[in-house]
Amino acid sequence: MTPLRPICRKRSFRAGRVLLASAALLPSLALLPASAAGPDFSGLDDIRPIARRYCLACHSSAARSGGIDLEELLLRDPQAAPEKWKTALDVLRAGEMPPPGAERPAQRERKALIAGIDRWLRANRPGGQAPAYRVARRMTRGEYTHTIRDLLELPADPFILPEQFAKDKAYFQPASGIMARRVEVDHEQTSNNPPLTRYPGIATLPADSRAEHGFANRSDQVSLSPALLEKYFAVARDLLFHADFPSGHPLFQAPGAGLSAPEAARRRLAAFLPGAFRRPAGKGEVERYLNLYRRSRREGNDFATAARHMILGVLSSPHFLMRVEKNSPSGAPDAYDLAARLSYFLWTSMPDEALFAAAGEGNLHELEQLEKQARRMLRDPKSKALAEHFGGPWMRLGQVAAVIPDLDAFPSYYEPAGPARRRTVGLHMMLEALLLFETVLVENRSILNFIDADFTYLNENLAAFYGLRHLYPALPKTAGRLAGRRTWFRARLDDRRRGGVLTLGSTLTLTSLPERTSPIVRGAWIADVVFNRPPPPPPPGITPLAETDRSGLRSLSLREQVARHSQDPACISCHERIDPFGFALDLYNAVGLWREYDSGLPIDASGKLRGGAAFNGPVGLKDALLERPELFARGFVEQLLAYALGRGLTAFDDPTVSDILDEVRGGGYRLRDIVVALVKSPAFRQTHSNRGVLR
Amino acid sequence: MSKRLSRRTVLRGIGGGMMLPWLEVMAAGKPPHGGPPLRMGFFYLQNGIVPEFWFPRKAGADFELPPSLEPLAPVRDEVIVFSGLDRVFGGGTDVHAQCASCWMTSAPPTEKPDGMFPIDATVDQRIAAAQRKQSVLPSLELTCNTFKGNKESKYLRTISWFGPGSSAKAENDPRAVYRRLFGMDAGGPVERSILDIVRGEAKALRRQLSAPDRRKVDEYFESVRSIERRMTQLERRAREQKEVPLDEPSEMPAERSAYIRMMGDLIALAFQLDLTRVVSMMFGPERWNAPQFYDGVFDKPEVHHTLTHAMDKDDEARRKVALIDRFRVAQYAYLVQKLREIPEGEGTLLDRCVLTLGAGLGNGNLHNYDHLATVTAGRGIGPHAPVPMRTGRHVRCPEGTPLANLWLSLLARNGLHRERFADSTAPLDLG
Repeated sequence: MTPLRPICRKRSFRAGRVLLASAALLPSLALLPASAAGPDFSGLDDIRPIARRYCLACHSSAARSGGIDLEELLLRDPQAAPEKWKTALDVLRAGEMPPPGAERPAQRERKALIAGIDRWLRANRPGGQAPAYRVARRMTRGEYTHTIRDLLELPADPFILPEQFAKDKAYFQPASGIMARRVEVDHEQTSNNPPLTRYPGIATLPADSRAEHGFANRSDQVSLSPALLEKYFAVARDLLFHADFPSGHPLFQAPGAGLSAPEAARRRLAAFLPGAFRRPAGKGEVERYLNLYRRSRREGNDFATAARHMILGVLSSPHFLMRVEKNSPSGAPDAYDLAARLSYFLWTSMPDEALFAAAGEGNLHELEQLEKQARRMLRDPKSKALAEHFGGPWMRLGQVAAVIPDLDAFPSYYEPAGPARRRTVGLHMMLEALLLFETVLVENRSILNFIDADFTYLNENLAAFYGLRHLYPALPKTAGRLAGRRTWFRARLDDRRRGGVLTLGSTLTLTSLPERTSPIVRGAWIADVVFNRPPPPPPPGITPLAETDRSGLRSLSLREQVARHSQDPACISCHERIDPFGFALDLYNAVGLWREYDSGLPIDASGKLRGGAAFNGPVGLKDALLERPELFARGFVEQLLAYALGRGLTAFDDPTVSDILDEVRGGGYRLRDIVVALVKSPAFRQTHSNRGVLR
Repeated sequence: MSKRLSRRTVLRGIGGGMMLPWLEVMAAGKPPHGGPPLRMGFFYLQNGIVPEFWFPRKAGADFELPPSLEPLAPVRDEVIVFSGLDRVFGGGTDVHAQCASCWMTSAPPTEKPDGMFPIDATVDQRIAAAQRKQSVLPSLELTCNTFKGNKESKYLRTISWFGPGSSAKAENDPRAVYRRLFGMDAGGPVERSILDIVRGEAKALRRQLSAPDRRKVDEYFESVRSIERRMTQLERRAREQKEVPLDEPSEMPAERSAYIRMMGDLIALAFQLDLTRVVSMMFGPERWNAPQFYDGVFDKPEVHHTLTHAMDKDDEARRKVALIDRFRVAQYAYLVQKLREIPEGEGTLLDRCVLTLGAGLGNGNLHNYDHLATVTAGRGIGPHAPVPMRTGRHVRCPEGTPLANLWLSLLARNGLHRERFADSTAPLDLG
């Protein structure tokens, strides 16, 4: 959750007066809450008696337990801290509040509380609409790579980004609706920065860092500096003038007879610009970039060079490099802007011809048309980008390469040192995780498969590493030495200790330290990734767990050490939310292999969630999570929505997520259905109101 | 936006050697005093330090060098060791994320212009902005982050910010740094035309946008302007044809010390040729929890962050963290020495530098923001600051002195006189 700055009430008041004076001129203002008369309490009036009975003893203005003053929010000013409403909803839904031992509301009362807050949030959205899209920023590295590929009609991405893992993507055929049982994929050493390039010597772009608890495409995270812009310019230049650039590229071929060179340049530019700018281009714009062709010819360059200069200008333009939307007062974005939203969400790239045409016809705003396009796009192999740029970062796969398990403690993580650099199983783990995500996407499976699945993909290395050799069919001897690395089989799992993201090798490894597991980090990963409720950061000035303690605590189990650390009253309220997850997973070692003892002590993997059931070990944990699927589904949809909108969410997004969940619950939370419901939600379809507090 | 040129051609195109480009600036008659420009370096120590082995016991000129600062012995007279400088943690964010991203911030901890973070234009960028017309590169941002993967968010990897939400992407590859310093020529007419057009496009575009979106297009616009200014500068300097006394590095040095020193060599060269006057460098990102090999210190890779969490209970861990501190100080000392070996005007290049070495965490185990390790090197003489800084001493600041007081003083030495910077209370007495 990105916290909100408090909404300025004075400003709403003024807006309300404007409404009276000139409502006709400013139609969007008509949706404003009637704030002129003071704060709006709709929804909250009904829940006051329940809140008074169960909540206000601790969350009064005097007590402010946990920093939450419900008395102020309920009685005086609901806008004082809107983000607290989201916190309230989270703890109510999870059953964490009221705390154990306190009088608990009946189910009916709990639902009433949730409904009341929901009603208030809907009535008080900034600008009156669903909070919406926020876009202005440069293209991310991933967007740039795929857009260049599609715009210049290159056979493949110019770069193989670390987040893609797989060098070839032929295996990904979503139109079939089925992921093949056998998958051939070359995925060597793509986990390093900088990216591999198909054009030797070309400048490369640096990775975009992820947001704190978010994705790399968040507009408030993606910034531009002179050094970085130089790189974007250099990539385009290096690519267009590269010896390996398709020599017969139609853009740069000398014109045939019957057409003058300047006229040929003009026509090609006029055809190229709309794709580059993701909208029809004006006549003046064609002239502007055509000047570069002329300028270059005056310098004595030939047609091919001058045409390249012209295209280089286009690829350097803010209309290409920056994703910007027209300011739309109507509340609905321009059809071309909507097309770009859709294509960058599903493909991390520009709209294709069909989508562009649909935008031109002007009916893309219709829900039926939007759904049709989204479903079509999800059947296109380009939708692999959704797995690579959302799925991978959602599971934090980029962090696997950062973990370097201790060689002496975990030799099987490393392949025998060869002449080149040492390979790890981590790379295979990342692809396994990606294949899981892609399978759920392609087969439109329930996202509950992420909690528990009865299948996974294994190559020979990973099967051997996990001790699941019996699940990997023997390859013929003629297949070659490295065939087992690139040949993956879908394995049916008969043991629930594997299956789903919690028990992936990648998850268990990236949440560990080089020498040992960290139940706290694993627990925090689950709170963050599974529930989208990252624990608040520990405050400064506390003594953290001594991670390589040698002072005598060694005789205690890790669990006892963690427990001792978490007993501190300042720490316990968060740690009791995260540690139990980590303890349940402590039956896997720091590289994700099963174990029952740690340093000679038996592992106690039992735990209990606050407000939930007790469980033991990973299977028990999975069952506990599956018992309340809505909690995970909400966390997942929230993260997908943040990715789709390119911004952090606020409390006012909560109703949007509820509406999406209502759409997909009956079908069992299928992934493609979630994507479609999201695309059809007002938050995705509407334009931001400029008056909100969105960041 | 240059055509591809051979490196040699490029090198010849740069004003090099001992030519003094600042003479031109002087001729413009702006600064109140003469002489070469003042150069500023900001060097960030990730994950705090071990206070016990860092802070001298004696204050004043008579101070001793504790184990972590021993590598400074050859340049003891050139440095000021500060103790007692603090920052205030503005709640709600991760401690590691805020200590790095807000080390140099101009926002007081009570304000949060960047979401939950008190991030606003940092002290290096304030200085760079004031000089951008004189310098080929207004600033250079470096990081010695060689970790694999994409683990931490940018708040743990960025100390230099143009403004809220607008971070300077730091470069970790010395070859890329070299190319940034020397790999651009003044650009041909076509390249200039491209910049002309796209600058105009950005200007027109921003007018159509609402305020938050406009800020993003402004980043683009300002970046284009910066590239254009740089080309203009290069054109002006292209008359002096000299070789650059350093070849492009052929590869990343395998040893960490050699790698960091190579960054130092590039910084020294950039200062010497007046290609930039403001540099920031992180010795590495905050946290990250991955092993790193410190050559000549340990015989196997160590995880710095993990060690800091054990250092208060475990003597061996504390000793190791202190050795990492010392390792970092040694690389800093290398640069300080190098700058002292370069003559400039009446003295040395170091006389016209202030290189601040500092940490954003006090004790890395406790994650507190008190008693931040802070050292400056150089006398800070410049056109706006004729009086040299009084070096060769340990300054013990009164308990609770804001680090921002140092930034306020450094701004003044650059001719930027302000009442306040972030939560500063008064300038530090450097003179």
